[in-house]
Amino acid sequence: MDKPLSLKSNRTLHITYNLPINRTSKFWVGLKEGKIYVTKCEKCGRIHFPPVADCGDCGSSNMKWVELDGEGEIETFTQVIVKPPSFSKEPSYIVAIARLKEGVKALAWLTGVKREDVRLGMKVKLVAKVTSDGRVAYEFVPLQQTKVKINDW
Amino acid sequence: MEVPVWIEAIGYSSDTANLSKREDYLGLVSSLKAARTAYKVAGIEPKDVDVASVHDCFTIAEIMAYEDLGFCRKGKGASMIREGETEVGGRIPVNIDGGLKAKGHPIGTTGISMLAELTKQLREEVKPHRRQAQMKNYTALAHNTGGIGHYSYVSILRR
Repeated sequence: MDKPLSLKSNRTLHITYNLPINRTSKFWVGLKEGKIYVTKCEKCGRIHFPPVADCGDCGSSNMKWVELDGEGEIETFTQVIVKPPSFSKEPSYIVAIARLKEGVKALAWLTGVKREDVRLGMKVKLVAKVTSDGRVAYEFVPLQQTKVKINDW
Repeated sequence: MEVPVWIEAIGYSSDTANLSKREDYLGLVSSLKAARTAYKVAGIEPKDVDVASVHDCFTIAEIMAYEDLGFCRKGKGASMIREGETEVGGRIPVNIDGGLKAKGHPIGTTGISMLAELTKQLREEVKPHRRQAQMKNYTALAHNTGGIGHYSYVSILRR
């Protein structure tokens, strides 16, 4: 069988996303200050992470900004080894979902812990960060527990 | 004249794309709801299906589909495969043509491919014959999911 023929395009498509953030700018500014702000719907009480300006549950646009403490427990996680092209330069990373104290769940990278040490239910904290190239982001870090040893007697 | 195959019902549903907003990580709510609607409109139960094509974009997706479509209880999907229940001659033959993974999951065209396969199954024209599922009710099911499982379509076909 002959080798299949193909025609290669001589034009490259670059895609850059420009997302409008006027109505949730407090979140983005807050991350730079090391704080995580979310929106709470005044009508139905639902907390949204990431924050939204319009409640998907009840349709209200009456939102209140709340600062998240960030503490939570891991519900599920996975390690990404085969990465999408734009992440190919990263080392293998862990993505986790944790249920936070405030009742809302968040999905973020879990850093500062080896894959084999991750446990369901482990306590983590969602923290704001600024990357080396100046982008704001957030991630889970393990919450240090002080262990109290109970002596046998 | 060709034997007609009829679309009895199409159920569809969508769920949140955000994984952290899902209550259940072990199944797809959109599949569950789409299937329920399809069965209801077609007036059938999962056990009435003679052959099915499910959206096996990944192995676990097929296992979850068995459960979401009501072919077995939650958590029993893998046992169905191990016990041969989804093979020709089994309780509910599924993805007899190899499914999405066998053809490299060409997005979009897999849906049409399913309908083509199920049409052949319903007409009992599948070649080689060992891939022909036994027809009792002449009822087939096609299950498609899109995105990250946040929208699903279940079609019931009948001859």
